[in-house]
Parts: sequence; C-alpha cells; structure tokens
Amino acid sequence: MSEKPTHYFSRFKLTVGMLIGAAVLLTACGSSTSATGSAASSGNITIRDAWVRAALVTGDDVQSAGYMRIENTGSTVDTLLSVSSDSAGAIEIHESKEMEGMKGMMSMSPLPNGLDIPANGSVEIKPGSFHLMIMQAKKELYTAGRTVNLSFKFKSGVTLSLAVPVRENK
Amino acid sequence: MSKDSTNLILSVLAAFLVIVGMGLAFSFGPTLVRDLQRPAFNAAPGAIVKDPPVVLRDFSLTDQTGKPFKLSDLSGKAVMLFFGYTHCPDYCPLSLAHFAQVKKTLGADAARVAFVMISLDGERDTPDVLNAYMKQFDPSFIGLTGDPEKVRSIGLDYAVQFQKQRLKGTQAEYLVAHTTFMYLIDPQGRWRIAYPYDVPREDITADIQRILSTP
Repeated sequence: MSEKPTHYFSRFKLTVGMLIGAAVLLTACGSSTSATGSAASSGNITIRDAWVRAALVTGDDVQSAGYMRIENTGSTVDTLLSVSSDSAGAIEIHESKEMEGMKGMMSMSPLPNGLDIPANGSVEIKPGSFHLMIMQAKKELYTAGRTVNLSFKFKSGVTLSLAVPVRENK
Repeated sequence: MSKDSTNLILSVLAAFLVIVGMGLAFSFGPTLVRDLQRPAFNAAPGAIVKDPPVVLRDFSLTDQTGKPFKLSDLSGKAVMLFFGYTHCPDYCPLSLAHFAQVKKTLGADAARVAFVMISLDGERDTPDVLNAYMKQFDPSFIGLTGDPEKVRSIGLDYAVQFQKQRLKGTQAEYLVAHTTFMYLIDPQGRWRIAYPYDVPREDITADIQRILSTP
C-alpha cells in the first residue's frame, strides 16, 4: 500500500519533468530571433530595423530600396523631409498605393512634402506602404553584408545618421 | 502517501497540463487550423483560386536572349508568372525574391517549374537589360519583353493592368503602376492561383508541390 503511491509519485515526477521540458522546448520554438537591422535615436525620433536591399542593375541605373520603422515619441507630428547618402546619387521617399477600384494594381508616388510621423506614433516603411527609392547606387550597395550610412532630416530639426546593413534580396 | 498529498500532486499535474496545452495551442494551433481549413487550394488570405482553372491563350514574346518565346514552350512545367519591370523599386524585386526562395525550397522539383517575368516596360526593358536583371535573381529565370500594346493584350487574360506614370518630385524618368499579383500556371497551361505580393512563400511552395503531384 505504501509502495504503489511512491511508484506513481516517481512516475508523476517523470511525466511532469517531461511536460515541463516539452513546454520549455515549445516556447523556445515559438519565439523567433531575427537580426532586424540597425537602430538610432535623436530627440523624439527613433529609427529601428533599418536595412537596404542589395542594389540591382536596372538597365541604365543601379537601384536599391530602403526599409525601416520610424517612431515619434513627441506630442506633435514630425515629418521626414529627406534622406541622403554618399553611397547613392538620389534617395526619394515613395508611397505605394492600390489604385482605386483596381485590385492589386499598385502605383508609386514620390512624397515631395515628406512623410508624416504621427505624434506618439510610428510609420513602417515596408513593401506595400512606403519605401526609400535609392537610385544611382554606388558599389558599396552592391553586396550584401556591407553597411552604408544614411542621413535622415526631419522638419523638427532632428537629424539622424546611421549605418544600415545591406541585405540580400529576401 | 496521504490523500491530501495525492490530491496536491494531481492538481499540480493538472496545472502543468493546462500550461503545456496552452503552449501546444500557441505553437501548433494556427498552422493546424490553417491546414485543416485548407482543402485543395486555399492559399494565404488574398490569394485567388481559379476554380475551374482558366485555360490560357498561348502568346509569343521575346526572351532575354532575343529569341521568340511562347507560353506553350513551357507546356509540361508548372509556371510562376509575374508582370513587372526592371526599374521597379519595390514589388518586382520582392516578387522575384519570392521566386528565388521558392525555387530553392523546391529542391529537385524546381526542374519542373519555370519562373517568368513579363516586362511591362518594353521601351526600356530590351532583351539585354532583362538578361542582366534576371540573372541577379537566378540564372534560370526567364524574362520576356515585347511591344507594350501586345503585352497589354496578353495581360488582359490575367486581369493585369499597367500604366506609365511621369511624376513630379522624382528623378525616375517614369514609373509604371501595375497589378502586382503572381500567377501559378499548371503543366497543362491553366491558370490555377493568383497570389498577392505579401503571400507566405511556404504557401506558394506547397501549392506548386501539390500541382506537380496531382495533375
């Protein structure tokens, strides 16, 4: 009578141990770690997860694109006015939009007045919303694994420079 | 062992089972649900399944080597097709990157799949330009080009629209607004699925594998 429960007890311990192990393992599988690019802050502005696509030869040009997330912790809207780099002839802020009434038809348009970053908010620069169109890319933008410096200028006077990784087309 | 301690052990075990159950649900729930809800071709949200499949008209364009190329030249292979252009900043490199990754994942099956981009910018995308561009993604990728009006009429079969846009505030000579779907055509030359640009790649891969195994 006294042995049986002990036996069960040890079996329980084993089972519980295995279950804890399984739980730990599952939790570990569920979370993903990803190198998400570079980050920098100044004033109320933070740029995160910044990266540029390795440049592509497109006929007479060599083009690339840049993606990131811009956060504004200030209580007023700020505007990204321009982006520049010694590694490119021109960088423009473009918006992608589905054309009205045409499913899946996307048009790109430059934002000559800049990109608004809402107060206490953020804007994701990613395919399907916005992108930095990078033209006349220089050779440091050709190969994944390198970094290039991008400089951002905001309406509030904030300027930010960061080294951004060049990534494969993925 | 007392009744109390047995009860305690049982309640502790029950609590752990709940935790593990939640872990399982979080880890496998979404995929399991998606797999169960996925009959023949229910790809990602936004993907359009053509049921019945659409028999496509043959067409002839020029490939990146300057030779005439017909859709029917690919008969017997599954085809992933995209309409784009080389100066495209955002969607086209992304879609061709999807193609390159899908091809890698397919392994040996990739030999039975052709990856094709039809240019919506025949003016700038000469065979040479396309050749240099497509190689940057994969040497086996096919680039087709031709007169824009001819491409427009081919595009109608895929509900593709495009429009050249000269815009202020950009150094780009012009941009082309265009439909950004990717099309899966089966080895019988029938359009089966259209995918939006943000489709999970594993869905494309799974659909191609299914099409190759069940004609």
